[in-house]
Amino acid sequence: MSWCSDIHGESPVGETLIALIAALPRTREFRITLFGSSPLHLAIESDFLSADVGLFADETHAEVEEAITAAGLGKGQRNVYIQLCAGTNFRTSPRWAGRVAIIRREHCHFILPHPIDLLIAKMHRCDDKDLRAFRLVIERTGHPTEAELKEELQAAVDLYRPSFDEEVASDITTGTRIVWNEIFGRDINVRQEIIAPSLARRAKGYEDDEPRAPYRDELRQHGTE
Amino acid sequence: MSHREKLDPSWHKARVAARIWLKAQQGKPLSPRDKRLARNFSEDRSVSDRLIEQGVAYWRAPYRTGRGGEKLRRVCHVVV
Repeated sequence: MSWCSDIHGESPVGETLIALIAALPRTREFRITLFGSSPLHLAIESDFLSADVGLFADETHAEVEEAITAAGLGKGQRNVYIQLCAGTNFRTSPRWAGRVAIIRREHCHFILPHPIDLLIAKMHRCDDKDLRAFRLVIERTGHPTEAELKEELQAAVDLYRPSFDEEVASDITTGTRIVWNEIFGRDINVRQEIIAPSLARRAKGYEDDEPRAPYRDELRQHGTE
Repeated sequence: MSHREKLDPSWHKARVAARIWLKAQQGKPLSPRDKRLARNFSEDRSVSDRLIEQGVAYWRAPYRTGRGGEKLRRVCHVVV
């Protein structure tokens, strides 16, 4: 599929981002990652919209935050607002950074993660809107298939670890089962079909290299000759 | 002033085991002491094949000359 190549001011998200570009100081370049629904809105379906444009720019967080406030782009300041997050809010596949689209506009580089990574991040919450995102992406692109999503989740197996005590618990295991039931029409045993095969592959990677000779056996033999 | 290197006991034993194994590979006769140690090491679980292999690599590694003109091996000391 062709992903997004530019940000257009006609859409509410595009308009918000263009206002952000104008508010950011031109003394440096900014790398801003969009996640949530806004990349899908920009690239796949302009009707797929949420009120917040989730983004993070960890290296320049303070400057972006200042620009959002100064330009009146934050929550409570306008209908479609920018939610400035931390990179760790985007809990998705470890592969995500290697398959992004980057749109350069003036002094800003907008990073749009691949749809599969946006969808995986939605599985923690997995409410009706998140399921609509799944249906939309599959309808428009034919992906991810069940096999593709399973393989991707196996590669992202650490998402299934328990939350920290200090966190608001999210449950990607339940989210996975909901997606399988609602999107692929069957239940899934997450432990058996995603976690176990992935851990088995990982364990294989930790196996010691075989030594080139049976040294101990040969020493025993030399010791008794 | 020279100083004695402090080695992990398993690594120390593996290096001695590797010397005996190399000696046998080179067709040199093993002394009664070599044979006794070879038997002991073959029963010692801390002297694994992997560690003996690293010992073999250690003895086969080339030398470099240290500041005081001493011979130093071009390998890291492995502590496991």
